[in-house]
Amino acid sequence: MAIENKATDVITGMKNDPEATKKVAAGTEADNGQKTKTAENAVVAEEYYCDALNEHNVNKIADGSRLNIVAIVGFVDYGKTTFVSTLYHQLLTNVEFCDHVMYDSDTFIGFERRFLIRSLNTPMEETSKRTIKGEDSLLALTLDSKENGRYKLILSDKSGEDYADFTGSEEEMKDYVILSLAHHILFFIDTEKLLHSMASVKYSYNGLVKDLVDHKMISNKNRVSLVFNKHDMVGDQEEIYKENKKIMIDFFEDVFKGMVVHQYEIDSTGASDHFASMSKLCKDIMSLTNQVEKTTDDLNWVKKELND
Amino acid sequence: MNGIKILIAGLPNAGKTTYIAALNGAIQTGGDFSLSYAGKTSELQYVNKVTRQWLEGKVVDHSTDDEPKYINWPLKNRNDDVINITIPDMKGEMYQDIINNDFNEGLAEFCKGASGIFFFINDIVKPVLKDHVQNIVSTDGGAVNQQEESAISLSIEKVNDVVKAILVLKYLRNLIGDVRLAVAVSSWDMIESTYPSIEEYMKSECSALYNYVRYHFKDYKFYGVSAQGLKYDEHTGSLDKITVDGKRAYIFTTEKEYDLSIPLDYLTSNQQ
Repeated sequence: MAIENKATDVITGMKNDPEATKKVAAGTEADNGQKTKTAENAVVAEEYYCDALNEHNVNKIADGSRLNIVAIVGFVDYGKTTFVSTLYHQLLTNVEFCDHVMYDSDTFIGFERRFLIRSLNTPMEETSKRTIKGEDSLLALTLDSKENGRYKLILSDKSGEDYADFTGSEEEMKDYVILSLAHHILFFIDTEKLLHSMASVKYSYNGLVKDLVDHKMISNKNRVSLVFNKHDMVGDQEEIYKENKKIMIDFFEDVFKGMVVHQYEIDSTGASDHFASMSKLCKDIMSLTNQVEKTTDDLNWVKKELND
Repeated sequence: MNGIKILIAGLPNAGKTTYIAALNGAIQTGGDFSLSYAGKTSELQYVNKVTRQWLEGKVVDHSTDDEPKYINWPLKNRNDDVINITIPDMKGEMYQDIINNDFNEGLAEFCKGASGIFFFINDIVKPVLKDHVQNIVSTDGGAVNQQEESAISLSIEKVNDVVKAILVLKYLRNLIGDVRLAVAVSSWDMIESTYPSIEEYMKSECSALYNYVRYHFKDYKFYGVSAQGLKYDEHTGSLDKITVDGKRAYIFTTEKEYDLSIPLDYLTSNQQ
């Protein structure tokens, strides 16, 4: 089977023009992609071909492809990166996963970074590694399925520390353009923390979510889901879990008045008996909804704003 | 005389030079080949050196020069048409550098007007998530070295083999375009007993690369390649006989074919 695809030509651009290709492929064209380098951590020390993108340089992948943007929101150690790397791993190591074929990515290295972080972040490790604050967080998968055809799935996997900093910072929040474009927003909740300190979890989200709504970053155009991660940790504390879970659901439903708040209970490592629910979430975020009308050209908001 | 440029590409130790040595050795020592010897190659000294190593069952020296060797190779097909193939023998590090955003201008220049890519992969290790494995042991059988594991710099070595191969191929496709592609899995003799066909191997062990190829190239084929035709440490002394009988190196799709020129024939046929 040979299927023509023009999409990937766009990212590295002009054929048979080595100089231009070199520049574009290297991502060294004059863009405004200023990266925040975190000197103390080597995970983001170098930039590679097809690395993760940020809000300033994501326009590099604007090629007219249909688009599905998923924002993954949550605080430090809630399992966002673990989820992303599990999804990536499944798509990378299977010809099809959840009826979807991954046939390309503009950010393979961005995923590999997360895969590395994930591989270090095992119970064996004394120190916990995670996505670094300010690290480029936009990841792209080029997918195909019978149901949805071909499109790009953009995942926003910001550091949990970034979300902590958003609260009360209007400037930082406004820079988070991708959220306002997202078709699906996943709010991760760490079940283990929910069991032991529900108040802390609610407190963290209280500031963030209310700010997001106040700044009109979330509207009823977004599909919103609560993802109760590390659900395998519930064990014999089912009653406490149910009670605290209800409090969180009530809180989100109250903030997002009139919106349906979907729920998932997963173990984002994909290693436990919860893989079916993990797969269900993966399938749901990969399924295009009727709301999907955007293309990757919409990512070029710099150009769009100039034209306006 | 027709001229066709075929890019032989692959990461370090992918088997590019061994293939060149084996093809040259095999077509000059016997066997029925789709493409046969039709005249001296350029870079004769170099080609002779690696061919002798192949004939003697020694490990073929990998390319180490910073500048690629452009081997001009006159070969004759079964219609007696002479096809003048030019292939660059580049060190694999040059391809690996692509991932480091270090692009070689000589490579880019050669890619202008190339009409096919012969892409080699070898020793692919399928990525496994550690928390999906119950008992993790290091290669020496002991516990995982905590000190080693806490080094978290992302280096090329830590990038998955399949991803590295895709990134190189992606870069080359963007330079050359949607040309004919042959993907060769080297050291096929080491893995052939596990897979009924090369297609099944690709789906199982390199599924992302398999997907990348079938979606981005209209005209492609996968081949298992056993260029050396023996394990280096199992040199039995019968090497000469199987070499002369043309039963040493082979290509595998669904069965063995002792004709190393099959992929090059595919890449060059009807391309003039």
